[in-house]
Amino acid sequence: MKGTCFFCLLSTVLLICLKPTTSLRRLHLGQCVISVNIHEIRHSFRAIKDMTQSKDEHTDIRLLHQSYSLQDTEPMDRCCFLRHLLRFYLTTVFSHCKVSSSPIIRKVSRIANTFLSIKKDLRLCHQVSMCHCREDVKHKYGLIMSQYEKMDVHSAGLKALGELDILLDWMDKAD
Amino acid sequence: MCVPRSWRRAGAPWLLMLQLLLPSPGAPELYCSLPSPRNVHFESKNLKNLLHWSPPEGLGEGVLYNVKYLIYGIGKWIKKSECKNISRTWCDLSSETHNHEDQYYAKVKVFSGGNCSNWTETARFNPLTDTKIDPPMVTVSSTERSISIVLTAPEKWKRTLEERSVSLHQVYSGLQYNVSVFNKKTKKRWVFSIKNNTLVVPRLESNIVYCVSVQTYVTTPLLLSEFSEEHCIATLKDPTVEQTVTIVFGYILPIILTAFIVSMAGYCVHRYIHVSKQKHPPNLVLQYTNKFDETVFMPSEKIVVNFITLNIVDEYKTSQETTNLIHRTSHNCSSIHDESSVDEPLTRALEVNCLADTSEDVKILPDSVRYRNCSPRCQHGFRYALGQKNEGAVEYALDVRPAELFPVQKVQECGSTEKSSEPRELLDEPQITLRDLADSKIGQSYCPQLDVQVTDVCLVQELKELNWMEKAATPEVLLGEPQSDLVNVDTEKIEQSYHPQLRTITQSPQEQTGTMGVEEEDEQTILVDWDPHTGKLFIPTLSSFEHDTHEEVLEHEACDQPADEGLLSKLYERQVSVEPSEDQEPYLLQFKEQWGLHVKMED
Repeated sequence: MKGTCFFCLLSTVLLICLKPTTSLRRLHLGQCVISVNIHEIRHSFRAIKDMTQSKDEHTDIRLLHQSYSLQDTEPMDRCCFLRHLLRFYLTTVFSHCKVSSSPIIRKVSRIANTFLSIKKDLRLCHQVSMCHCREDVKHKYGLIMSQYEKMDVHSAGLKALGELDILLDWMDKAD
Repeated sequence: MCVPRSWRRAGAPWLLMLQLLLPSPGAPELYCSLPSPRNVHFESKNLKNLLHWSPPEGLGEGVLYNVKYLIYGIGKWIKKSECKNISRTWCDLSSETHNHEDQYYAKVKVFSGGNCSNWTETARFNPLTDTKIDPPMVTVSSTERSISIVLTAPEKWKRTLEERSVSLHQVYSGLQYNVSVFNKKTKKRWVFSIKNNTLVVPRLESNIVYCVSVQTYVTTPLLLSEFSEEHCIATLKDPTVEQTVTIVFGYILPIILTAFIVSMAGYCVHRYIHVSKQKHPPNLVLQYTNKFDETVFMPSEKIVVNFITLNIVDEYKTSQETTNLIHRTSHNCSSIHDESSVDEPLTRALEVNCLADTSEDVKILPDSVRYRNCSPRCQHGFRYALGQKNEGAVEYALDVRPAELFPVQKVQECGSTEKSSEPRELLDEPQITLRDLADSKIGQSYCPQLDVQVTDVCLVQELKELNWMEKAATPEVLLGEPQSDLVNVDTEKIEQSYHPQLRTITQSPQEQTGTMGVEEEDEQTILVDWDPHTGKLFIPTLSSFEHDTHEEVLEHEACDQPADEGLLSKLYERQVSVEPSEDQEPYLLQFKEQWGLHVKMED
């Protein structure tokens, strides 16, 4: 019986360890190809989704609008656009999020770390001049920031967290 | 909580002031006191989005619901006209939420009896992540060794039938399938994860049932469908196996069996013909003798030749001699000649069981035999006993009817062989019984030793032994008696190739009969002496055998002698006992009538 339990436990641990590696997704952002563990981000986001979205009362504002979507961006601009978005989340959203619940803080931190790793990969692409940023990307990014700045920092941050799934959907479809 | 509480507190009074300042048709809602519907949520299946809710507590039927929806980012609640004042607890918002890249809100309110409830709002609905997907359509086909699975991804819900179908593959780029193949026989299951719509499972066993069920699997967002119903299919029977079985059992095996049977039959025949120790019939053995420089036929079995010689007597010619013969006591003359030679391969015995006067036609009798000095009333029976190693005897018989040959005047059947027919028959129909006639006629090629036993019942019994040497056929009388005129061997007629030893034994001659012999007279002039009392026929002269053939013939005469235990003695006794004189009267008459027999009674 103990052996069986031990075997089950070992299997579970192995599955957990293998799970992130197997759910890696390769993103082709123009010439830059990165591996993103979107599944982990989604898993973390599912824990904070209801809290963030239910408290977003500005339903008339959508930061990551459909017209700005990543998949509708030119492939060679996707790298730059994603890099700006990640920098936006890391420098603006996550840093200004005041969360009282420690489980949510952990989830947000995990997402932030994942974003950081992605941003590092994109930075590498940018260093080898595979992440060109053209005016179109800058324009889209400016539109997003203008929407964000319409709101106060807290509600804007809350909305931005609630729209993480939109970003993930973009990343999925960007492939 | 990321939302600032101070802001939220400040929002509530602001909304209250707004509602007070703006009198609207919804003003009665301010007095809504009914409980709100519960558990308002989207239920999405393949991006077909339905809004479901539960009736408010305490309210049963009779309540009506109104539904509104909102697209995230627009911020304007839109009434769902189809779902206004409905009593059901669900509303189809598929058309309104058709764009799966948008996110939506919906809310439900209860009306009942002029009263109402507050709106109950759903959470933000993201169709892409919140929908449920169906398993694909599965089509399975099989071959002998594989099954091919063709999958059709579920389609996104269409607002109208005319709308172009959108597969979920286009919606979810990471859509995959988990294909489960279950072997019904071995209870083993394989799971394949494929991205394309077809799968061929190779290297399967033939004629085995496999059950396939497929699950649609989307990696991001993580969506898992249920497994489809099992589609069971059996792999086809392997035609090669059937062909192999057919060929083996239908062609090869029968051919092998046939060939085996034929070969066995051939082997048996071959063995029967060549291998087995097959013996020729003993009488067909050809043996080679150096003496003739040719292969000669030497029958191996004992050959018995019976001679019944008839002596046809001319009356006019033999009257005197007959008279002389008649007054003599009847006797049978038997010559026994036993002749055995070590040198010769065959042992032959010639037994003269019955002697009768030979007619001329009976040329089977050896020519070289001269019955001289034998009792003229001897009954001559020749029996050739040609035997080798006492093996089986073959008897040949020839009946020669004198009627066909000559006008026989006197026919006397003088004896019978052991196996001959009864004397009655012999008397009735005078016969010349030849045993091994053929053997006698081809005797010229033999080198036999002939044992000629002539049993004569006459008073004079002679045994003579003639030893015929090579090319010197002078008979040597071993036991020559003074009367041994009995043997006169015409050596001139004996082939040089013969080397018989001829023994003539004369045993205690009581009477001399040789004097009465008719020497080399005309063959047709033979006297027959018939004794009606004893039923004996006395042949005055022994036949003189004149033949052109070169048969080796031995002459033997032996009169009756107690020591001579020949067959004739027995036969003679039998004649006496079996055939009384009375019984022979008809035969005598018959002889008289048919044969012209003249009987002279003895004084």
